[in-house]
Amino acid sequence: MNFLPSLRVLIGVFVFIISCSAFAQLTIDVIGGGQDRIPITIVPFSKEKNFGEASKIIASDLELSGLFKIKKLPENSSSPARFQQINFPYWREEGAENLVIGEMNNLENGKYRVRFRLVDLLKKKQVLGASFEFKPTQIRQAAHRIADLIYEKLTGDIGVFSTKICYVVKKGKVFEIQVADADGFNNKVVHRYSEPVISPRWSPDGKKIAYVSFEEKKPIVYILDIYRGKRKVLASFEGSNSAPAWAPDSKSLAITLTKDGVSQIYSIRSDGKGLRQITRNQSIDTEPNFSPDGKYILFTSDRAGGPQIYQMRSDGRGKAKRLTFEGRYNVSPRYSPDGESFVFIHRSSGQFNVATQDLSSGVVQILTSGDMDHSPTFAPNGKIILYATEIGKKGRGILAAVSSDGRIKRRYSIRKGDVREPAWGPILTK
Amino acid sequence: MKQFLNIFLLIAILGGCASQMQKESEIEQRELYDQSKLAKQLEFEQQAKEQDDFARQQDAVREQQERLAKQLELDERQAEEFSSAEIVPIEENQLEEAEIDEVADARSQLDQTLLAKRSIFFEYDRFDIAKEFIPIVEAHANHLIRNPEMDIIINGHCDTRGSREYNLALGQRRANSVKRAMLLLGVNDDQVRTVSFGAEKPVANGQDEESHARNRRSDIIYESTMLP
Repeated sequence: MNFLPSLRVLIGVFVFIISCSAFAQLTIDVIGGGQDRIPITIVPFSKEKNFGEASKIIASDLELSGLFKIKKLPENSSSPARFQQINFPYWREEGAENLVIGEMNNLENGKYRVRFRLVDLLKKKQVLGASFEFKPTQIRQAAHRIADLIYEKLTGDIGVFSTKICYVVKKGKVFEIQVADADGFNNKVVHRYSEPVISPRWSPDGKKIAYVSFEEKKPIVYILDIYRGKRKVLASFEGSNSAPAWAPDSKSLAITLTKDGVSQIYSIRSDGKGLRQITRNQSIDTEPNFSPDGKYILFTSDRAGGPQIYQMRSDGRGKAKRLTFEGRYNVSPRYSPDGESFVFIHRSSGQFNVATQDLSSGVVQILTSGDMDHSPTFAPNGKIILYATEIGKKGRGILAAVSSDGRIKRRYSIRKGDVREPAWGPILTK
Repeated sequence: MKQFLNIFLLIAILGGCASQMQKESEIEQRELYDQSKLAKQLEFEQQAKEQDDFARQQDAVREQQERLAKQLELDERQAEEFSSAEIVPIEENQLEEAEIDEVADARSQLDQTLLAKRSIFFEYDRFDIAKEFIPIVEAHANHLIRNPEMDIIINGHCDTRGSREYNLALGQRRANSVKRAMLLLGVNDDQVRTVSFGAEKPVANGQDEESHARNRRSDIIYESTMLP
């Protein structure tokens, strides 16, 4: 058994951002689409072939949202780059309603510039137009940004194509945390170890990830600065340290500790100091999640026998209020970004599914129909819920997403490995 | 530290006598110097003693390990003999002293078989110890009481269904309930540590009930090489 420590050092090399491996990337398929999808025609941007095909990335983003119908381009169609070049009767003949055109250029400072316009063909009017510069390596980000602007103009909601997601990948005995663009591309490994890792959680500023690793043969909470590659221990008390949840101001987190016996929720500053107990019980209290205004937490407790979801003030004052009553197993609550509802995992007749509950009316909606769904996480616009599910006899983990109205479903596939524990990152303000 | 505090107190009290202040403060300083030297000397001696103690302890542990290894070998042979022994019914009041010893031996053999069992299994979403596992917990508890230098870790585990974080908490409860039972039986608190691995270390990977049942467990792990 003496070889074990050295082996651990070998496998357990703690890695930060390492370059992406195309094979391990997630690819998304839309399974169910919305009924009234917005038709849109995206013309290849002029000269885009030299810069990476932005128009294809934009089309893919909008298509995967499930809210758009991407119109096929007619063969040998012209590629207008400017408003004046649009042949309106031609495009109307082709049945196009919304047209996206654009052009790309090299700049003297080594950067690229993109100009694009969204045109309403019925009104013959430009409804959106913008231009910006970016570095050659940022072509995908630029395209996602354009997709966000188009999405926002045509749906009235916030676009989340520019956001990031993170998740855990298990490959044999090795566990990784990967960070990727919301469309699954551009994936990077930020943590790799030969012991389990669970519960990655984005800080509200999108710069850090708190997570639970078993690398010291017990659960310990770490905070990783993903861009600087610096990691520190947040909580390593006696017993288990787990379930990190960031307060909206990023200054403190709620965590679950068992240092006094049973799992209880505590608050701790992000520097690891100022520990304060929030729940005081003889029952399991875990999986805290802050309300968007930071005043409340949702959490899972077995105080009534089985696990149910409760809400209480985040300062620990007052009594907890039980929120779920349907079924005997309700876990993993997360507030919606508007704070008006929450998503959770509900068990009924042996199936574990994603459900939402309205906080004021208490109405429950079950959104998925898989056998074994885990870890639901809202996109920051509240429109999509990303979660983990299992396929096949061995229960291989993959990610899936469902729109918050349950109509649009998509699946993120990966060629190898077991994917789990997704978390959708915040919208980054510039 | 206490010595220093006392000295400071002394200074404070003496300092109160204004008339002799100058002279006495000189004496005090000398005393203070002497005392701190003494404290250093004591500290040094203490360290040396601790090092000696540690070495002696190490030797004792080694001896114990060797003794235990021999004992184990012997026990193993006895266990084999015991299991192949014919069972003869006996009348009431028939026992003689030598035979009583044999019964005690037999009980300790039974303990040995129980000690070989290191997993307590649980029902779905439960953490109470089922009746059939109580003898195993008792055997380990007795073993720990007899060997107060031994430490164990109890690892709590769950099946892979449901929330990973809730399972981590449930695994902790499973480990805790075995620990609590052992403490009630008289084991020292500092002999038993608990860790939960939740659903992260399944022993069976299937999605059938049999696999799930094998994963819902508390494993008893002896920390030293002195396995029972």
